[in-house]
Amino acid sequence: MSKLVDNLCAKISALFLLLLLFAICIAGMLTTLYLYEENYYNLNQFNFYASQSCRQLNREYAVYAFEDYFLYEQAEDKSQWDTYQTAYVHDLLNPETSNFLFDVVNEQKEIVFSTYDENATYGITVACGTYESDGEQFTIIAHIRSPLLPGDDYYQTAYWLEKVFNNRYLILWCSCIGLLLCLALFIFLLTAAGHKRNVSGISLNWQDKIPYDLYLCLAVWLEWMLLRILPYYGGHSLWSTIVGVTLIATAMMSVMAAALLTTATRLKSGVLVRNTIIYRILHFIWFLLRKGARSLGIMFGSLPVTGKWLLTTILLFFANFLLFLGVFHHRNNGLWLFLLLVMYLCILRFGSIITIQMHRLFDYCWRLAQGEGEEQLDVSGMYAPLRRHGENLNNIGKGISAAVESSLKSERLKTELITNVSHDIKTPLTSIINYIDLLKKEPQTSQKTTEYLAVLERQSAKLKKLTEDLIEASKASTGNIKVQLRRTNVNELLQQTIAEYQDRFAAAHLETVISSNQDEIFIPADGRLLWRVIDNLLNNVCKYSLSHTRVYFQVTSLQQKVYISIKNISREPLNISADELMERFVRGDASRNSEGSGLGLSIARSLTELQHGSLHLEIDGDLFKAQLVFDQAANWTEDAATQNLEETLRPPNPQ
Amino acid sequence: MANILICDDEKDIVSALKIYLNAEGYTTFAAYTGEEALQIIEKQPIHLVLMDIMMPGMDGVTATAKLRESSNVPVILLTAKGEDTDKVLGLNIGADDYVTKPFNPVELLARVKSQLRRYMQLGGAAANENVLTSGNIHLNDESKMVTVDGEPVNLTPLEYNILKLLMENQGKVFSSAQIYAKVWNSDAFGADGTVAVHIRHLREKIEIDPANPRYLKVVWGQGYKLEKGD
Repeated sequence: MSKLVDNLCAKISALFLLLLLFAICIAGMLTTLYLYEENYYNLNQFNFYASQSCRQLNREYAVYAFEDYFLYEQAEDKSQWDTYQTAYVHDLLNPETSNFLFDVVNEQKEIVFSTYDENATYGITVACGTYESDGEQFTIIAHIRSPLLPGDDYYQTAYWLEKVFNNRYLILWCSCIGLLLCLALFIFLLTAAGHKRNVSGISLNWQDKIPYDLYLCLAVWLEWMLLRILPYYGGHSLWSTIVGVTLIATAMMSVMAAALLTTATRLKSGVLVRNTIIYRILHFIWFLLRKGARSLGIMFGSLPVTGKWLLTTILLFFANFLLFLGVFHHRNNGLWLFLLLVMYLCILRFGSIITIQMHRLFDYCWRLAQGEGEEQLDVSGMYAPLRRHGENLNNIGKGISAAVESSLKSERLKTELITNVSHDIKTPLTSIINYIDLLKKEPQTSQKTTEYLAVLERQSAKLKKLTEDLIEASKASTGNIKVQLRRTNVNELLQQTIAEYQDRFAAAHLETVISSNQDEIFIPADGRLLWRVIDNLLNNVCKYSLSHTRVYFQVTSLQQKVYISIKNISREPLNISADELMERFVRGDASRNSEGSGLGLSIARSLTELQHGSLHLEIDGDLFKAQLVFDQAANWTEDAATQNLEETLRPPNPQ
Repeated sequence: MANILICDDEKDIVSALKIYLNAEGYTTFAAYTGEEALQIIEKQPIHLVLMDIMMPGMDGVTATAKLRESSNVPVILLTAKGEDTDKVLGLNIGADDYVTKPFNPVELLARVKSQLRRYMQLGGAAANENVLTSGNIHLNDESKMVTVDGEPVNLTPLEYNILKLLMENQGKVFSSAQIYAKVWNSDAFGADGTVAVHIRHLREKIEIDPANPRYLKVVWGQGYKLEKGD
């Protein structure tokens, strides 16, 4: 099928076949119509003399017959008329050869003229016309021979009519089938329209390139002209009618077929609307308008913001003024009012869009300031100046998140490095500690050996503590520790902690003084971590306190906050600021001789912050004060805290 | 006496441990990978395994898991990581105890002894209504005797009463005030750190490493509890 669709020969043959078949069908249908008029489909026997064709011929011949009679009446010498041979004006009425013999009867029923032949036989005798001459009426009586003599219209008509009559059903069926065939061919042509061999898609031929509206007008005009000449072909005789109508109908059909085929091609390729003169004109006008608007837009866009605002305000003012003039000075002011309303709605819409976009920008800017600029602002659909501003903000946000990400990454890497290195140090350290221990059990050769071994032991213990603190410090500062906040009794925890340190306090000759403004004070904290915070603080207290002094522990609950403070007197003068003390590897004694890594306070602060608390140090002369501040657990529930915790512990997005 | 298998890829640590354990009279076997350890266990009657976690080839956790398929010999893990998750994982796959590197030889020996005693006792003391048990702690209320890993421990009456209270309610957390009220039989008002100090002393007597207690745990900011024994 697709091959056939692409085949030009097949299409041309189909088109010719279509027109031919159509012509045949039209002829056949006209014939059928005629046969139906004659009622031939109800008759079994063909009778020419009763047919309309015969009557038509009778009428035509009667006119000639009366003319002959009239000439005869006018003639001076009537003798020559007797012979009938030479004098007849119309040779076709020659009684010798004609099938039409006639009598002319006047008003008194007298035969005034006759070509009647008594020896001949007749199929029908009929009155076929009344004519007036000099106020007298004459009737023509026709006698039609039977059988007909060959040579004239009667014989011809009867001959063909009889053939048609004999094939009347065949003609009917042929017409019907032909019509169906026409339809099929037409559908085929519609499908095939626009397809070309070796060319994919729809290709247009020359007539598809004529503007469609022009083409349609031409086609309609042609059809109209053809329709106009149709009546000239009707009425003369059956055959001329059939042939004429068939020709015109076929011509009309070919015009229509061409129009429909080109319509199909255009529909398929989608150029139906575009290839019209009207469309082209409208398109050109639209193009001009757009170009004008764009150049105006470029001019407007190149103005600075203040200029735009000024121009807009002036234009709006003028528009407003003109519209108000219209409203007050025209009788028909409904239209003006409507225009005014439309203008105000436009201003409202534009203003609200600008406001919304500015609000989004402000909102994003605020989030950026809060450090939440990970996601980008969607600037599509914003007005140009605002969009540029939004893009700038986006770039700032990108820069910030890149910086945060890289710092997070480096911090993570640092923690990983510290953990791994500490781990690798631990294994040889185990051997060192164990073999020092073993050496100590061996017989000592000299006093010096014992001394050196003691140094080794002390230093290896220090190294051990240092590696452990290092890991803890790096974990605590990066939040790489599980935190489970629970309602924790501060007084209970403090007592437990002090109990752990009782022996060391006693050894350092320190007295503890504990006071609390309430019996039970609860804070949301992870007991294990809080113990390590206080552990680190008390470790310092033991190391650096002046002996025979008191250490004060105070728990105060005040305005939803809980303050835990530990105060002690330093043995050495503290010539260092509280902030410096908090830094890693910084220690109270400049000589660094005492045990400890210098990480204790840093660990304590990191762990406190992981529990949403804060650690403050205060130095007042020799008085050293460490204060922990937590929220009170009065309105605090564990569920909410767990949720918060999950949020804080969630790893930062890789984005 | 008892056969102990030491498994660590660090040869110096293995030989140091050998010296300590041999000095205590134990027979020692050395393995340097997990596979070697499993082979030795198949051939020799081993009573205790010291297993390092980080080793080339089969690591300590995998080796312990394999070992547990056929044997219930006590396993003490030696770990350099000291991460809570590693400890939990080790104990979950069937290790009995763990020691973090760098470890104290005395503490390690104490743990070895404790595990061995528990393993060799085979069921331990006969069940007695008056004997409270938690892990390796036995408290006989008739004779007022307390043993840890089979060794008798001297406790003051107050310490004894505290331990009894906690052993009767294993796994339950008591605050200082509650313990004071039950043991001292008086109001906790003004008791301050008394209970905490007693508990610390008690812990020093029954725990190998009081800073990392196995039995008597400090629930910071809540109170104290005795871990439920198995």
